Amino acid sequence: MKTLVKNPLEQLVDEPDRRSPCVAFQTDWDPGYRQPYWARWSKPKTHYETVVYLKPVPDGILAAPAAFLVADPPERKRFEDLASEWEAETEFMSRQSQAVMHAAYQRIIGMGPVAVPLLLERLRDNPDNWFWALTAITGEDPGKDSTTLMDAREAWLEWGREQGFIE
Amino acid sequence: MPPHPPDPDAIAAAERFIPALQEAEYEPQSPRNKGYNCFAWAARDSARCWDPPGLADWTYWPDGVPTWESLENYRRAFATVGFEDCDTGDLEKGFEKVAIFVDAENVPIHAARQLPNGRWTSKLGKGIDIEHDFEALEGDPAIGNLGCFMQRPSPGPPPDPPGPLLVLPRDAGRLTIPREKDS
Repeated sequence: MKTLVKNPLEQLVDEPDRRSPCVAFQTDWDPGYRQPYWARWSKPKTHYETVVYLKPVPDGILAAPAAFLVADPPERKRFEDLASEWEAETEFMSRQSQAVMHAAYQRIIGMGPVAVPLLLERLRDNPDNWFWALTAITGEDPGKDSTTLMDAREAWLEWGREQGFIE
Repeated sequence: MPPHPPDPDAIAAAERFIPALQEAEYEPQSPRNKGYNCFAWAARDSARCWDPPGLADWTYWPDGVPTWESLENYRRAFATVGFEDCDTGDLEKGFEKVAIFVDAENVPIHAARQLPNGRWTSKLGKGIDIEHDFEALEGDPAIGNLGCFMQRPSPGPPPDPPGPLLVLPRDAGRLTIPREKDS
């Protein structure tokens, strides 16, 4: 779906978790942002970094968010430390409701939208029940029709690609 | 001879988390696999995790069984594949038995299935399957205490082949970030 907004970059920077899959830029926004292929920026005082692909169209520039990144290494390291801790300490728990209550998992949920691409990356490389955290943060549940880990993983990765979180 | 070569890391991890294994006689029977859990394994389902649906609904839970986590509802879940309550875990000709273990709040946290030789088989969380004596695990904090025994006529259906190993190499792929082109 395409949406016309007056200053989409400003909106995206101010509300980084309210991204549309596709945004059509009007032509009166700061021409400094008008780059031929893509744009990227960081939100001050956070570790958000956003990348959008840009394509000129007759009424403006079509922008498709390509990635929503954690640029700051400490955030990535914090996530990876928590994820590794959770994987190790819940390996022998059989009930999902027990595993997701682990403090490390809850801290990952507490990281909010910044954790979404990292969760999808982790899910892709080392499948596990990251679905609860993804649903808690995003409100989405693309794997709800799945009954296996791998089917749910595929559904979430497809969702992540559609949303521009992963390639 | 176990069907899979023992994985020292997996065994060490299991004995760390389930200390009772350190003194027990048991045999690892499979590699690690996150695709099914102990409840599924006890019910001879190695393709899915049996777990009431949570915030993200991706596990298997039998239709019509309440999703509140209680011993009663797990008994109902096992009843959907033919199990009925029974009094003991003694080996009885013509019956296959499962044991459901509960935590201090009487919520199931483990299940094991009796083998034709009288010993028991357990899937340890997302880790390995083991063959063990009943007493080897009961009472360990990670396993819980006996909640109930159930049985159904044996032989049950043959076990499904294990699902794919859900372990990918860590370098299987990384998120690539577009970089600004040189002007």
